Amino acid sequence: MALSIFLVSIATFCLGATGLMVRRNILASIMCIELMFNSVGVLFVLFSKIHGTLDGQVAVLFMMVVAAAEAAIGLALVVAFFRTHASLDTMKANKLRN
Amino acid sequence: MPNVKLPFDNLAMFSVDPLHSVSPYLLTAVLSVMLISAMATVFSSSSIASALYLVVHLLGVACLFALLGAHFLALAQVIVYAGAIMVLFLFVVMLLNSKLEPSGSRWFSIVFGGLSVVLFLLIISSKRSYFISKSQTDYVDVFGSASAIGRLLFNEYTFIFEILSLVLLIGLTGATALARKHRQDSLVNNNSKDK
Repeated sequence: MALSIFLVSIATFCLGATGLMVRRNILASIMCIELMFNSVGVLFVLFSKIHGTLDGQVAVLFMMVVAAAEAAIGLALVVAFFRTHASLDTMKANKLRN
Repeated sequence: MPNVKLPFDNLAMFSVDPLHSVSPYLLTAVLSVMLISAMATVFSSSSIASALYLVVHLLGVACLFALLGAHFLALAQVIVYAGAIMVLFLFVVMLLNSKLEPSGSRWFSIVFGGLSVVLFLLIISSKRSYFISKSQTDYVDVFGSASAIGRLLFNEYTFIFEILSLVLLIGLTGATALARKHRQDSLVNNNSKDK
């Protein structure tokens, strides 16, 4: 039973990583990062339950704070990106290429 | 079973199952909801559908936290993640996605809205003791409760807690600075004529 939670968490992380590389919408990329954050949080809580200590749950609490700050900065970056490129396509971000 | 052979030695800890009190049907339902909504988040084409499926995924993660005994984290997950962060996401999606295609049929949303309203009325009109048993309310200081986590947080992790307040402050300042219009122009020449 614990193994199934472990596997689902790994699968969710891989799904998030895949979406981060596949999706071209920059908002969807940030959502995939949130997906990966959450899968790691599930692992923290699962191992906190397995080992019987609370440190993993405190780590998930810290992770929520970091994810909130990350979401705020990421969405501000998305707004700035939309202002300069007038689009949400990540393929448009090629100003440093040439 | 200490001598069971698994492909990796580290996986041997799964042979002793600490989750014997969790109903396997409930766990299967929660895990399948999490997987399906994660796949829908990644592979749905419109970003607003992605955000809504991500809300479903985060609620599934909150249910999993509650099943694993992390009751305070389940509440924080619903309030912080599915509440605050996803509302922020939906704000930005609706702010920036100007081309939202009109949906063809409304019966889908009507059926699901009606179902959720019926479920909500059932929950608030049912007996309270069905959801919160008496034995659970008696123990306030159990594993994963707010007081146990708070005691650990303010005894052993006080320094990290204070550092995280700085992280939040820097995040707030950085988001404000990034979202301002023409920040370098306004610093260099205040009377720029073009916007």
